[in-house]
Amino acid sequence: MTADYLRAFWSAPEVAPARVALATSRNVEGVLKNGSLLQSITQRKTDAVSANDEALAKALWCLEQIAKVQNHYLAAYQEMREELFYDAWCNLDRAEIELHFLDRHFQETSNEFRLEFIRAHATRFQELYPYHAFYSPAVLKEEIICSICQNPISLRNPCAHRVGEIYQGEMAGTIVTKCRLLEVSLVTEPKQRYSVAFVKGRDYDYSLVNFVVQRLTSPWSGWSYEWTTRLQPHSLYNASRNDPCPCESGKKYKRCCLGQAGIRRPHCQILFEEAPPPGLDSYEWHPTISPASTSSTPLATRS
Amino acid sequence: MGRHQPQPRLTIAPSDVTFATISQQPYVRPGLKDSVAQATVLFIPQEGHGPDTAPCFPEGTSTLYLTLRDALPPGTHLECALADEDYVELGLHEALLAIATIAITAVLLPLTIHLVGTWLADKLLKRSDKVKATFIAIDVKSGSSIEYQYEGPADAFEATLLAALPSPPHQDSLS
Repeated sequence: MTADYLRAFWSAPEVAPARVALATSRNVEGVLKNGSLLQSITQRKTDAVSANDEALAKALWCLEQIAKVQNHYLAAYQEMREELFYDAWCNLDRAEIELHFLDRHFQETSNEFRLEFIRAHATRFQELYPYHAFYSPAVLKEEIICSICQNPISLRNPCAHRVGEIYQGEMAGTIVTKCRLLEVSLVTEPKQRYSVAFVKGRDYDYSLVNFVVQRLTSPWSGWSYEWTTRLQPHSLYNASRNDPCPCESGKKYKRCCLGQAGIRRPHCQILFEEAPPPGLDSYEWHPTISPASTSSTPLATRS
Repeated sequence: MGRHQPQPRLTIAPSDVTFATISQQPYVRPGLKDSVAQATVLFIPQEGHGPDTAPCFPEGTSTLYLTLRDALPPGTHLECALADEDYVELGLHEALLAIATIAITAVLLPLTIHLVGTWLADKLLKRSDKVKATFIAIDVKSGSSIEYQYEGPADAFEATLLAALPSPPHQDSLS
């Protein structure tokens, strides 16, 4: 069952300053600040555990998780801007995992820590990546122990700790102390997405991720996308009648798009909630003014 | 990378599995055979992962087992066909949440499906993972068994399975 360990200590002196800091830090430079903030939360949690204050330790664990989620997302944002795309991919995945751990113990009600923003945008960024195949190891876990008490996992004589619950300021899990690798296969839907099966020598096209992230004014600028198709002029493609059709249908050009008004290509339409920074407003994005209001809805498109 | 929501798929077929047949499997230790044969909810391990690989359970089975142990009504005989010392889990990296095969008396099946559905919702929360599960409903009186295999989105698990179960006998027909 879900619980909310944080709200009971919302105004407590051990919690409130860090809570306010996590709710108000808005810039990437906050990553570094959050790093020291995370250390200070962890120290307070350690103190609570030493004082046997289990409830306060749970509240501080929630704050610690919020800081981790924010840190991973902000680090990913910065890495994407620096074109460190795989590092960013791993941080996006880690943000989602830490958020999933937190879900059971804290429910955000008014996006005060921007957790739902992070959940939505981490997924959106990942969906723009050119990663489609992942390694999937099958591991036989022969000895498993509880991460809290280190006792072996037993069905008939279990320890008192339940996986996912918080004890002594830590989330209970299992530790595999003996295992055997059975096989490694390729999958399209992995459990963790960092095991990307890169193909040696292949160039990965991150231009769509780059297009988006360079046009955001801050990590907290919202955006969404929609895949559609768009007809492009035949003159853009130097295809002969018997070549494969540039629309990638698998058919010959002459039996597919050649007789049509254009070549139907996938088209990603991106909606930015804030206008991109000056100098980046010339590449196929154009603001459209809603006739019903004076607010603008910048629309960027990329084929 | 798109994350497409799969359609739920349910297969229903007669089965020859009973608590007694499981109790005779070589992986059931002699001291456990009677308890397995008398079970009303029984966790059955997977086989077939190679000649050197012992029967095993999907990752996380122990948490589901303990959840059912705490939630099933008194008098339920919950059992696992492997002894604690033989218990091993198979971890796969795929985003498919496999649930252990559960043999169960037909009368307890709806409640167990509900409990597993609640466990899934609690485990996955806002994630929309795919789930694979097999229940073998055993009619103790007639000795017949029916296997329900579900594969699809976790949030459709409970509703799909419960909708496929035969309606309970009308009260009048019991009198």
